[in-house]
Amino acid sequence: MEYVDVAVLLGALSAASYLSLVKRRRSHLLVLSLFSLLYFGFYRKGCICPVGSIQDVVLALGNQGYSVPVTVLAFFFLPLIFTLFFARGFCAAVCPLGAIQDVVVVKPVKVPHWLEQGLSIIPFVYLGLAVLLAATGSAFLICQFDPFVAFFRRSGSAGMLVLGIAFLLVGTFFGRPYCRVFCPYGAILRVLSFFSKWNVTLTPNDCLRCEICDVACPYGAIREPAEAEPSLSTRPARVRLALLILLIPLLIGGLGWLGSRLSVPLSKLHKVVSLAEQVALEDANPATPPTDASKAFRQTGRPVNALLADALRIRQQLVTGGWLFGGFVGLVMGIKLASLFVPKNRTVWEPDEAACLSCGRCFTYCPKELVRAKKVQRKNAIPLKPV
Amino acid sequence: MPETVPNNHRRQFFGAGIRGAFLFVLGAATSLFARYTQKEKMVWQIDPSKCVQCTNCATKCVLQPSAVKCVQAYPMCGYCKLCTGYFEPQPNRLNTAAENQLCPTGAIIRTALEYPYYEYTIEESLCIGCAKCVKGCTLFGNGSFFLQVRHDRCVNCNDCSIALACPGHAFKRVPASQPYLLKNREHQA
Amino acid sequence: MKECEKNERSNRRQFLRRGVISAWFAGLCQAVGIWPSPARAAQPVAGLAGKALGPEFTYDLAQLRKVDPKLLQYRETGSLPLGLKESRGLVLDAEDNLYVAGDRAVVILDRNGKALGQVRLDDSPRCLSLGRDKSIFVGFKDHVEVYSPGGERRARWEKCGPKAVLTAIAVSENRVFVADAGSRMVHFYDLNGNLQKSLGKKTPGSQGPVFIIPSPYFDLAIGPGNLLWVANPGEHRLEVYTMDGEAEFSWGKYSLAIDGFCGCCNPVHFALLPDGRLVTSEKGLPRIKIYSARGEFECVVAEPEQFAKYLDTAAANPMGLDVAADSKGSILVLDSMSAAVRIFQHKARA
Ligand code: SF4
Ligand code: SF4
Ligand code: SF4
Repeated sequence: MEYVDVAVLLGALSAASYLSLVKRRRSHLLVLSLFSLLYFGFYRKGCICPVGSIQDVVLALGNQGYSVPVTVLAFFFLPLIFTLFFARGFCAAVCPLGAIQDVVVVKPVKVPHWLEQGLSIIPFVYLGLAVLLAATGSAFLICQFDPFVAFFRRSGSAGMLVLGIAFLLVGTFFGRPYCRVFCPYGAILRVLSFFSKWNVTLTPNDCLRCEICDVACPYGAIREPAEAEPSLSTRPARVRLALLILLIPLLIGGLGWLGSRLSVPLSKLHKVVSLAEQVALEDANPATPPTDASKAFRQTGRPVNALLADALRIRQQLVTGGWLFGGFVGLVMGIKLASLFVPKNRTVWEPDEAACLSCGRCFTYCPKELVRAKKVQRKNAIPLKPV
Repeated sequence: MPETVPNNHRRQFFGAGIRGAFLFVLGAATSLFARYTQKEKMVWQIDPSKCVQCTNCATKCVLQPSAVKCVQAYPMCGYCKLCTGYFEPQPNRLNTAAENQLCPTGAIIRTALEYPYYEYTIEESLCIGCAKCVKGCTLFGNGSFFLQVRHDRCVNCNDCSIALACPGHAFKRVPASQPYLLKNREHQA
Repeated sequence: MKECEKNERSNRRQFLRRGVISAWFAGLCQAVGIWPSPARAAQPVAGLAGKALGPEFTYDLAQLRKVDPKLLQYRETGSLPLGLKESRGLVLDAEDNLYVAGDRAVVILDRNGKALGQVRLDDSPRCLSLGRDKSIFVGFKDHVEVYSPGGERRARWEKCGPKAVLTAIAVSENRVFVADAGSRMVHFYDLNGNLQKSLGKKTPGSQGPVFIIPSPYFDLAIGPGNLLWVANPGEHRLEVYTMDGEAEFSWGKYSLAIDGFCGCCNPVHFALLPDGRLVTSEKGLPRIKIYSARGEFECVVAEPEQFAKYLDTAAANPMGLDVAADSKGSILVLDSMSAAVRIFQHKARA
């Protein structure tokens, strides 16, 4: 069964790449995404998905007792490799979380560029946090706050359902809120897609600058021409960039320190630590009402000191991890800031390599693309000849 | 595929380099993970010796009713006439009348065997995994009733939501080829 | 302006198209049965995820943890630590010295807890008794061994059978009675370990077994007047036999109320007081009580709350809770979970 899933994943990824880069047809991509929604979402109940597999992979690295099954590994790596060559076809038509948000986009509003850029930091923070918590065995954050899995299973707690409905409602006017503002896997894909060999392009050579693609894109992924701004030719501009780059190590250090401070609150998410705290509290103050967990612990007859030692070890791991997490966030912020001031030599309207989800909506709007498609169609059509 | 803008040569070159680097990293990571991987899928299961019968199994599963069900370890069962997992703590009569039954959903079936023994079977379609009978059986009897995640129902969440709430820390991942942690007679005194 | 209008229109068109797609999609989901439909929602069992369960789902014995203080006539006056990981059997000799079988030894203490000696064993003992000459009869899972008062092994009797689980021994002048919970019989031996007869065999005419032993607890003792007392836990009864195995009388009833025996199989242990009354011990709701020899409930020695570890354990069939009475009428309870013998004295006398 699991191997069938991997085969379907492979097939869907290939199809998505082909449809978004060669065939360039929105309708085909839509059908594929509905298939993925049905298969990976409703049929396979949304587990395991590549987004969540990050945690399994990390947990296996940090914990000798847990080893990832091969299929999970395939779910984690296959989309990454595809993205490195064919951009985010995975997001367009394979990911069930993306697909369910894609079908509810009704009237997308434009988000200001600065907000979009700011929000795009969040997935990296989320990614870092999820990795940190998974590596220490504290929690599977991504799974706990998976907004749509309750729909896929058609059952779940009220909290999960409310979260899912909220995301879908927001999704009617802010396209794909989870993908754009939270998805930690999307954060990785964003980077890989930026360096991808082939990306979704419109008709860069004969762009009319009509901006229709920008209107068509519900995800704010179309970038306007930047006319090769001479921004680095002036001295102040160069100094500014240099300062920003110098700022990066400071950001890393500062946020790393902040991250290490997080170890105490974060460690409460770990079952062992929260149990140890409860037990210690009860021991210090006998009036504290015991919890089910502390009662269960006392029944085992395990020495309290062993529990406390475990808890301390986990907290220590979180201190180290917190430094790394904070440093990672600092690095991302620094690069993001600096990149805002690096001149782009974009001359036409085109999809952003990182942000474009390959959904293919712009293909149906770009007049030049329509003309191109028509030409291809005509060329491939069998000419009607009078007999 | 439409050709790219020609003045992008440097960027292309740069991109190829980075792509190569990423590919290398992914490859290295995969081979690193080869050490940690295993063929088999892992599934969630309850270690019955750690379960403290808290009712979370009935309420915290993402499925409703829960994927956790009560199971009966027949070799451990005393086949008692007065089963404390079947009867209310103070039954009026030792019969199958609903008011005497402990299970709120009527999921336990009592069948008379040769005198004086009775067999108790769980009707899984009715059981919601509340562990009430497990408590009754474990406290007074042999503990032959216990909870297990039934893998015909469990969707095997990546992060089992009962495991998150289980006060006994009783949930663990086990290989899919041996998905149950059964109790047996050896555990008996 | 014009473009704007066009935009509006195309948006509307898009909106309509999405509506059609969603309807189609919902229909498809319904068709393959993966969307909650009213029929599915109305399952016999309520959906529970995330909700608390009603009170009918709690197994609540909280009120039974305590008993009426008027009935609780004994008080805990001390406890003797044992240093044993697990302990199963307790007997007293005529001088009130304690013999405790546990781990892989028999530990001998005086009444104040001072260690007097220890007999090392090859296996875990399950029960023990003392002969007239203070030789120690130790029951293992399937056989009996006899030790001299000094601790040398004198004899190792034959196995009692493939199903044997020995749970109690009593020694009279010329007989040894062994309770075997596995085969649900009481074996009668002479002092040299020759099996004379077994009580509890299924006879062709009988309705079923004599002793109903659902769990490995099956106690016996010799009482005044040369009577053999046997607990029949599955029947919630104490039965009295002559030394030859003739049934004399029996008493006992099931009840969670304090005068009866609770659970599926109780009492698990009992002992006779010097004056012929009985002290009984129950599992599940651990309570120690005194009955007259005729079965009238007299008073409570210890209430369940005093054995909180036993009440809260997640494991079935805990060890311990064996009882004994010393020559002055104090009750001694073997508490394996606290690795101690706990002593209870009558409030009037304490
Ligand atoms: S949540 Fe844990 S302790 Fe509670 S009933 Fe389930 S397995 Fe037992
Ligand atoms: S009492 Fe609870 S766990 Fe036991 S059979 Fe009934 S529903 Fe299942
Ligand atoms: S893994 Fe999911 S479906 Fe299975 S028992 Fe846990 S919560 Fe329920």
